[in-house]
Amino acid sequence: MAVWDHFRHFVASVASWLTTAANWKGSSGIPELLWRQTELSLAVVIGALVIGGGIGLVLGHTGRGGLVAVNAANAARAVPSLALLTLFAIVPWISLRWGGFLAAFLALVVLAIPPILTNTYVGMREVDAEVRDAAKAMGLTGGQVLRTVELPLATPFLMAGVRTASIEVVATSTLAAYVSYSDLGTPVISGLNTNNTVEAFAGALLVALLAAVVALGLGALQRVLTPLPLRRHMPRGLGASTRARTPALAAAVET
Amino acid sequence: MLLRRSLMTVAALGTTAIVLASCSSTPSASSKPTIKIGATNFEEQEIVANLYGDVLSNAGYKVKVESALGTRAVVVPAIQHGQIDLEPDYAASLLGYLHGGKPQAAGTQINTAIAADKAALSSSGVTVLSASSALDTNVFAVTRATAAKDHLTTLSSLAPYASKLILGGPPECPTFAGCEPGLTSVYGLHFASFKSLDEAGPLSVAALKNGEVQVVELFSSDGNVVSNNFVALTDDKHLEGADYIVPVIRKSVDTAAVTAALDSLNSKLTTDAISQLNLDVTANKEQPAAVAKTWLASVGLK
Repeated sequence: MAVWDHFRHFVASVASWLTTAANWKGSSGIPELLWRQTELSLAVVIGALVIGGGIGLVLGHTGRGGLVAVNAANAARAVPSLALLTLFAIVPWISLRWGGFLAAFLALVVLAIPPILTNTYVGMREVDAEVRDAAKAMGLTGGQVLRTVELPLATPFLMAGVRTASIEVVATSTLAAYVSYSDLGTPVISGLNTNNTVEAFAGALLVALLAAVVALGLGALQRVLTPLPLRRHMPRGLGASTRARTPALAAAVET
Repeated sequence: MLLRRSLMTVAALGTTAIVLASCSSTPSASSKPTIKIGATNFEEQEIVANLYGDVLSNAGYKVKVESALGTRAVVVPAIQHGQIDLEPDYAASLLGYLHGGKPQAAGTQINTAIAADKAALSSSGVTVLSASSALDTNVFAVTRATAAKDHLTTLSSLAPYASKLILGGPPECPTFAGCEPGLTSVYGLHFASFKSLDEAGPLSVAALKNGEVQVVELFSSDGNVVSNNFVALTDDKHLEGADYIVPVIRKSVDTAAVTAALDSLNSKLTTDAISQLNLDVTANKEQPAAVAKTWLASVGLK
């Protein structure tokens, strides 16, 4: 059947692209592109964790201004990353600084903050008030309560946010090729622009694989970081999710 | 890059049905017939279709401008089958389209491109008139300051300086024949490095302005070159296709008077002129029909 033949031929072409030695060598080889994508994504998620996680922890701990912040962060999700990337790259003092890393980093941090901020905040608000009170009654200071009680209990939520953000960032960092930061987006965009669907698909496949590895890895990390007594409530596997008990917060949470 | 015009809108294929329905009568060649002018979903084409319409209507013809007919894959069959009589097209890209989408060697020079277009279209009663001086293709641009400092006018004149300059272009540039490999093989240019940018869009413009790259690939006629006061280096060894705007017309309506009217337009229609018209439509949000009328009056063709 013609369609089946086309499909087989396409799969064979993709396999051949992925196994061509030249595509694995040098500064535009797959290992280098993969590493650059990982490097950028890692930096972005750490940046977003510091900013979004930090704000979420403070707001969750004090219990003030949380809904405003969460809604503002969620509204920021509507900003298209490509538009933001273009906007940053047009500013002379950002432009293509650090080989395009800076503009890509800033645009992607904006993408990664909302899920982390929202989840951290929700995780903090989900900490049982009695546990918090008990900790205070035992003489723990505010900082101690945050570090030793609230943060560990909020970790499953926080990590779910990190995982969502990481998958989004890995997928979206392909746009960085537009600001001269070559990563796996280079074969994807080149392939699309030249009607080379094999190259575009092979690049996209590698991005998808990277995203899957990140999802699985962070899922495992999420389990390890979850305090033992909470772990048995966690469903296993890829679909591991975290549910907020408060309906209003459940609506805002990302898993 | 090659795909810019061809990929314009597949969805608009549905429009063909409307054209088929609305263009059923065939004009007779004896008296002055109504000339149906078609254009794809591309501002530049709509502007030129309106220019054609206005000069022909000034010459006493009844005209009907059918714009936004989708892609070349809609418009060319429409003229081959007599559903439209006239359309603006691009000599080299049209030739590639007529040969299954593959760029043709004849497409690199305007005279050979038009001759080959005519040969391919003749059997369906269609021909191509003389080209305008308006070129819509990929160009390599530098800032006015760089051009002045190194006396740059052509791609050939870049040769002594290329090794100190950074080239910017879309991500496929290092492997795409019409970009870096062509600059190396045809012009012997070896740039200091390459930076991947968008496809002749805002990021490419910004990178050249900010000095991140010194040479960047843009489109000749979309207005970016004109509005930013860049200098588009002349492709003196014909690396890119000779995509000059040409009138493609059915022989049945192509009389001496029609040719004369379109030639009078083609002699005034330059790359700078169409760039400004494109800017008026895309940046200044004016209507293609309106900018066409204003410009014709300004060059004394009204």
